[in-house]
Amino acid sequence: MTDFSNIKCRYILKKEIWSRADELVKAHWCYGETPVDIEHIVESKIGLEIIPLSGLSNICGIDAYLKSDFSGIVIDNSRYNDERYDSRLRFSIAHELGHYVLHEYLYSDNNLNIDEPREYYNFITNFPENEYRSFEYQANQFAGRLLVPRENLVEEVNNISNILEKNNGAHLLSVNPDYVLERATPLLCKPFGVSEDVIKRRVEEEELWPPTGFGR
Amino acid sequence: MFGEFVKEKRLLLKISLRQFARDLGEDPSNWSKIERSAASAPQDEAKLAKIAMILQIQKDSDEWNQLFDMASIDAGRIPDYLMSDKEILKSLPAFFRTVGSIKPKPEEIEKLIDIIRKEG
Repeated sequence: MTDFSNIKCRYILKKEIWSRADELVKAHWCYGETPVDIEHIVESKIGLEIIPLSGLSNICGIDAYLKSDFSGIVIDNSRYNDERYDSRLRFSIAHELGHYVLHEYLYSDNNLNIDEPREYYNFITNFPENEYRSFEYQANQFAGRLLVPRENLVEEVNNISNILEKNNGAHLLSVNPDYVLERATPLLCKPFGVSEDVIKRRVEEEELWPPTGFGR
Repeated sequence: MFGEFVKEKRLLLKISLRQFARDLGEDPSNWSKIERSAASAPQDEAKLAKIAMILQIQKDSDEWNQLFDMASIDAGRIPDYLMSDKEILKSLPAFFRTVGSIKPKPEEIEKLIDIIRKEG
């Protein structure tokens, strides 16, 4: 049986991951236009299938996955059909696209030769947890930057600053920036079609909060 | 043949699978199977006319006739319901997104294999 415990995730600088996401949006989407239509990019531009599968989330505990032959992204059918999950689903698709763009080498580098279901169980069981987390981290960075491009985020953060200034609330940014961010999050995520968690992580990752000239 | 034709037209019009299934009143999973030729094309004329309308195909045009002809040919085809182990392995995850980035347990993978075998 193959030893899968040696699987390695190549280290990639965060800036490099972001640049790959930017390049992809520039090549396949009107850069600067939000929300980024991730389904259109995946299906029409990249040529990956989107395959809704019933029971994926409830029975298997998986939101979405990239197929082993890298030909499609499988997503939970009931969530795909439920608007309440739109933001999470968009992120899931962008995340799997991140694996597609960044991690094709998983199979070539590691000489994975999985030709029977038993070997696949072995692969999943022995995939090193820390390496798995690195793959996930990279795909998350890719998805976040793709759905929330920096330029647009800067613009939205500036809008929040302007609103605060007009309402004499700018001092709050230096006193309690977290409080302001908490209140501003619904406004910030709306143009991007992402969840509040994603937008909070994005402003933090891009070091955009508190806005320049205030607080920090 | 029918599925590929519809998908090609749908993508040209920038309609997502989800939006198309919603407009048609179909379950996205079932519709995806039709597009991937894992299930037969609908035969109901009203349904086909609705598909044509969503795809902006004019009544009695060449494309209209093509759509109906392909659906009719598709009716005689037996979809490949039974996937081989090799095909199932191709359909299993290379990477997966779970809550908290936790790897699925082997028993969850076993269930997934069951679902893929049944659902395609």
